[in-house]
Amino acid sequence: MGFWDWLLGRTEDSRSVAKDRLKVVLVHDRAGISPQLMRQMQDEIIEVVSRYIDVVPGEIQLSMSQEHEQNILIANIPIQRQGAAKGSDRRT
Amino acid sequence: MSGQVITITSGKGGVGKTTTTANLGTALAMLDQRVAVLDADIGLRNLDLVLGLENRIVYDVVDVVEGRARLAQALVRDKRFPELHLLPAAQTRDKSAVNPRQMAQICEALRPRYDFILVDSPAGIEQGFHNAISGADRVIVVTTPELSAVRDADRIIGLLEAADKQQPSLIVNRIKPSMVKRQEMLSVEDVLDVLAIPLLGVIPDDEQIIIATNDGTPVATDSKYLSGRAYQNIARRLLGEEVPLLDLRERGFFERIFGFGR
Repeated sequence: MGFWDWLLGRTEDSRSVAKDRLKVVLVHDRAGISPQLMRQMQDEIIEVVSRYIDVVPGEIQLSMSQEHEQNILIANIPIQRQGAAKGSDRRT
Repeated sequence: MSGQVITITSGKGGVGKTTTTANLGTALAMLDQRVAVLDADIGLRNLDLVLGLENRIVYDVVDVVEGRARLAQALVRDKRFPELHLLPAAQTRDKSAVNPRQMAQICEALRPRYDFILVDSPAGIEQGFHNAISGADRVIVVTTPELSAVRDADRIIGLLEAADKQQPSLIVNRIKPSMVKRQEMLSVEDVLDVLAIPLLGVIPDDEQIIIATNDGTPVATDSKYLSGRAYQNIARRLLGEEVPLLDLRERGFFERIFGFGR
């Protein structure tokens, strides 16, 4: 949503809302992955990633979407500002 | 030459499968094709009503399967279009009265006598659906620009793929151009973008379709109406003709007065 939309109090149009919701639900339908399974996968991904990097807990987002007929899994994992690399023997 | 079996299906109920079957059958018959329309919705017979043939039924598809009638006896002839015949569903039985193998056999038996055999599928993904697609050479998926209809269409497309059917083509029904313009309805492009199958045609939301169904005369018989022309164009596409999509935008005041934009 742009500045002018915000200024004029415009919200996202219902066609776009419908399309976004549809994309999300279809990706889950097609992959046969329930929201519960997504949470489980998210927990496991966090566990693996945090062995190597300090992540910001509670801000990790895992989602599925569709782009150009391709289903994609998107992991948004914010990293702590300092001490990004764990372990003293790692080269930077 | 042997005929082509085309199944019309959707997943969700009430999106216009039966209306589409009746109109495409009529439009093809108007183009001098020999057409059989087969109602595969056993227990919920309706194709006869949309075609205005409800008073002419003697035997149905279950009578044929169970040997009480020959196929030729059960086919109802449409007086308006001598080349259009209906094989009605049974009203007193359910989907389990016929199995996919029997349905495929009926399609095979019809093939030499017709150019097109259109099968009207019931809603759902159960046996009725599997019966309807068993004999199909190609499948048409009908959807409307609504979340639930598109989601169900996507599920059907997946099931057709699993059943090793050729990629289906899509009819988007009941589009309201004015709502799309106001960004209040999914557009045809939005639907194609998510379903990713080829578009066969677009039918505008048109009150005339309801009026035509009241009469039992499919709207495709009348080129006066945009929806009638849209069905006629789909029929021509099924015959391999390249027909551009209709401009569905509502005509403005001056355009209507002066008759522009036809």
